[in-house]
Amino acid sequence: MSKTVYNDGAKGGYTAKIRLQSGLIFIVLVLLTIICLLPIYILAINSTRASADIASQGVAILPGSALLDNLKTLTTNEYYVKAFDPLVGFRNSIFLAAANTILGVFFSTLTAYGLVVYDFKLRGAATTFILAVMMVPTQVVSTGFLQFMIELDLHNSYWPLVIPSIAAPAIVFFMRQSMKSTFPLDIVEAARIDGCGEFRTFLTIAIPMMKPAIAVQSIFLFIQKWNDYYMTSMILISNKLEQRTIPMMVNAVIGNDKTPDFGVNYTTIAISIIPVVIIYLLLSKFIIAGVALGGVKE
Amino acid sequence: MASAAQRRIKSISYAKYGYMFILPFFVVYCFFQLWPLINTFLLSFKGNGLNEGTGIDFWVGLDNYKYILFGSDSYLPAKSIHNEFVLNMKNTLLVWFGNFIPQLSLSLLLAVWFTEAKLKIPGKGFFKVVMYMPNIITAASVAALCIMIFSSNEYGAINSLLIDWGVIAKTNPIKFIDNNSVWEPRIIVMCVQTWMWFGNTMIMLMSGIMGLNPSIFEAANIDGANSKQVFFRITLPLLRPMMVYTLITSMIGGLQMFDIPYLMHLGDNVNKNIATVAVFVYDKFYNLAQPKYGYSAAASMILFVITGALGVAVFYMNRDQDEIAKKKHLKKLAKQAKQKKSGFGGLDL
Amino acid sequence: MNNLKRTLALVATLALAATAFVGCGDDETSSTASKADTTSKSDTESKEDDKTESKEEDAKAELTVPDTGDVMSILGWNATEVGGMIDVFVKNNKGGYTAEQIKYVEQGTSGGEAAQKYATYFSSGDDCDLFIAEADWILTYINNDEYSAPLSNLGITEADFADAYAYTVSIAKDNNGVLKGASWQAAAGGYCYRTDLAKDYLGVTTPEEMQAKVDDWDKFMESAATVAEASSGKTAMTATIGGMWQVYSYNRDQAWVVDNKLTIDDSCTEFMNICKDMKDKGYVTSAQQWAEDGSWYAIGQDDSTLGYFFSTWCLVDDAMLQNASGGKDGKTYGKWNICVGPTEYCWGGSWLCLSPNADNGSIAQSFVKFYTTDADTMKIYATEKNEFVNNKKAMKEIVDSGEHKNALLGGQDQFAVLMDAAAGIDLEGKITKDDSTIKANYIEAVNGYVDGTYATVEDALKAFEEATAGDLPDLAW
Repeated sequence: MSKTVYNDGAKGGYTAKIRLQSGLIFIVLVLLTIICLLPIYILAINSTRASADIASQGVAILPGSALLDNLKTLTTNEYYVKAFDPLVGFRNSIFLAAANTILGVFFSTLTAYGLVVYDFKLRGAATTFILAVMMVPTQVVSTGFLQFMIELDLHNSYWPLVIPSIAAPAIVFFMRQSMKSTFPLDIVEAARIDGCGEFRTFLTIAIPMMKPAIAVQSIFLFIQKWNDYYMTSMILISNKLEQRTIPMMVNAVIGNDKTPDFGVNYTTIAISIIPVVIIYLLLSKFIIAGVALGGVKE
Repeated sequence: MASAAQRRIKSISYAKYGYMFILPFFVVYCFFQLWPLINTFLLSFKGNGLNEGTGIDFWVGLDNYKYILFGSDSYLPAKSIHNEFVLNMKNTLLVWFGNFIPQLSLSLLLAVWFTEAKLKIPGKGFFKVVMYMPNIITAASVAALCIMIFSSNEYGAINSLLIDWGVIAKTNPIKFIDNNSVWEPRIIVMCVQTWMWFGNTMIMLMSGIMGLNPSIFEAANIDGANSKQVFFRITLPLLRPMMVYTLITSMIGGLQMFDIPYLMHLGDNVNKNIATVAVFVYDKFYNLAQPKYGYSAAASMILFVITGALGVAVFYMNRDQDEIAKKKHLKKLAKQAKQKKSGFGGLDL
Repeated sequence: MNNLKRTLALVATLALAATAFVGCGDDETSSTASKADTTSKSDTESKEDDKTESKEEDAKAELTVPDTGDVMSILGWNATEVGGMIDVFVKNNKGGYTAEQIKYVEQGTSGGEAAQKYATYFSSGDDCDLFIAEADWILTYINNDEYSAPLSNLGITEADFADAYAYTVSIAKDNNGVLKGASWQAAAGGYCYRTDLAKDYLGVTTPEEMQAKVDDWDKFMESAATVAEASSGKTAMTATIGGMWQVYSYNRDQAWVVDNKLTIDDSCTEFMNICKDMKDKGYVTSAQQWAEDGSWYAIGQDDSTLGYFFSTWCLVDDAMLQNASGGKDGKTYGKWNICVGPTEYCWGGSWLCLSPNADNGSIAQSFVKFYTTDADTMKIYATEKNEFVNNKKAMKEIVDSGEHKNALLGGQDQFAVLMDAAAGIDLEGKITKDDSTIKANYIEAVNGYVDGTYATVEDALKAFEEATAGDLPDLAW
């Protein structure tokens, strides 16, 4: 179809140019890949080396043999055991990140839908308010938020870490921009004519159509909430081991400046990243496919 | 006439759904965040420290703003706060520009490369996956990694490589993260931020490009447009909403940059040459013996105003586009109300 | 259908909002109630204190902290140390207390972080019985009755500390002279040096000979010159400027804040020039204390430095000197000795303080006494963990027995060396609540002067004053 159309047009010179371009781009991409992966590689390698080695030579190309030792220290040394329990940490992190993602993306899409599809008097004001809210630096609100949660006796629980995601202005903004450029408003009209309720239209038509945007924001929000350290450590005042998330545990291990064991530090960071990387690698195929699928619309 | 009446009736009866749909957001926001925000606003007019009359429980009016923005020659704390704020603002802007421009250009370029059907790039999927990886790592871990890799002694990774290659002498390693180094830590922070976020921006732009109707591109190809024309005349304009989003969010992210500048230092003190305004806000809040809530709150208000102003500027530049789009859309709605079903719902500019 | 859905949605939202506000109201009353309880409790406690203090001085104070809690919580930041303390207590305490009854709550990973986090923790109302504070910031907590309660509530008076080193008691008294903290350590500091390098470069073989070489600052500098020459500039005399700063800042004549004004002691100004001189001549390395990249410890293994200025708590197991040796199997393990050095000094030290909301009186009393007043139990802790405990009797017994050997120091007994130094520590009138901020700013100014950021000492001092003015607006400027 379209392929044959322009392939015919220019013949040899054109395809050679394309190949050259592709080749150059490929080289650039390989370089970028190296830059992206290099720190992760260093991280992996250093997890397998002993602390003394790392102190005397910051970076090595080949892995060492101390991985098991590092793991053993991490799981038996009384200090590390009290600071780092991967199963508990992953359970907590996954729960928090997933809950935040589901609530955040769903309600943001809902809000954006409301702002884009419906024309009501306060629409402009509401949009401006949400955008203004997005500009507020997070540090501004956090301490007042903490005091408020203490008064409500909600500190040391997960409620303050999950419910506020319902109001996520940046995601609302993204969904709104996304809808404005890709969402056909007449579908809503058509659904109304067919007798579909508003909320049902949203659930059964809008959400599937916004799949690429939803997929993208879901990953981003999940990763962001997974990596969130300040808010969780602020709210979880008692710092109980059963409640800690992975970043808190990693910080507890790395922050030990009395007896730093660099091999263990690297191993800890590696353990905290690997499951996320694996999940990401597994899901990225679906996400990229979803992004591509959702794009083609009639 | 009939259609106008229909339109009016429709918009009246469905407007309340708009309110309902946005209600959860506003309820949750007002409950959890509004009061702390107002509290901070009020705090910015109260004092610092614990003394009578000037302490955190006392009103000082606009003094905090005056001192932060203009300093004072006679009152040393004011001069100090002003200098610190100015330096932090400078750091914020420098690091933001140094990070944002390369990041946006790179992400845009990559997004276009990955979505262009013509280019035959082997292993595209692999590259897309890899580019996003840096974003997955916690900022704290990245900072810890940086401190190790860019260690200022001769055993640090980069330093030892440079020594091996004979670029620098063994007795003179580059002080990357030393608290008194000025440009080295800034450049590191710029590079690290770009490294961490370019995959994120790339994916967002990609999702924007992929959301565009490919028939436009096919039409352009049939008409004989080369890739440069396609990019500048078609892709960029169509991507405008997404570009606005990227611009605004990276601007906000840049102005509020906190994690890496706060964590990347040796010893106890924060490196004042990379400390951003967000670090200023956080730092002034946490000194138990003499808490400076006033300065902290005032600085956050100033930051908010600056961010808001820039945001308004960006929106203003794109406002016309939205108005035109809206008018076109309304016309289209009216036209299609006449024809029952539409066949080309995707073209929505 | 639509109507029903709409009404349901509205009702649900309203219900959600309503429960939120209801919950808000209830908790507000309960939290104000608990606040009222606290203030009234501390009021009655202080009244009881007045009563007990008005009695004769030797009269034992009453244990007024109730036993209503189930677990005693200790707040701290050093899990290894507190964990060790809890272990030794559980093994050796006479009250039959088990590990289930004591809990360590970690607040941050450094003293500075803990200093900030305690306040938030206290305001949240979570369980807290004892908390640990450092000399640099203890005053903020003990001068605030909402954060700390008098030790007499645990039935401990000043008389119980007859055998303690005097400075630990005087620091822990608040503005009204009420004793609020107890320390288990005497943080005397000395000069730890590499025995092999000292033999090669200075020709000394015993700590006494070494002490003769570094007996005062002039001799110290002379030895530094000798070492630099003999090692062809490779080995510095001491590790970090920060380490020397601890020695100098102890030996000030006055406090940092006098009459609410920032005062810079002459010795500190002199310190700037000394540091620059030393750095230029290679007598001190460029490493930073507590550096996260391990450079502070690396210099102890690659011969970059002959010695460190370390305090007693750096010499316990799994602490700084062990790290500087590269760990238990490290390159330089056991190749260190300690001597007093050019001057006596005190660096750091931690105190156990009591929270007004404590609810495990018996265990708390037992724990505090175990570690700060009871010579026998403190002796156990000293021998097990190598810690210089705050009890002259216990330390004397250990030193006299001659059996204590620290493998880290090649078998030397550090207690013998530091005994007299510890007895001589006097911090009266030299501590302020803002010390940690001021000292950190000063060392940054010193570093700036040494590496050329500031051209003159005056510039560095001006930068220091400016930084401190921004940090401490309460002082007179």
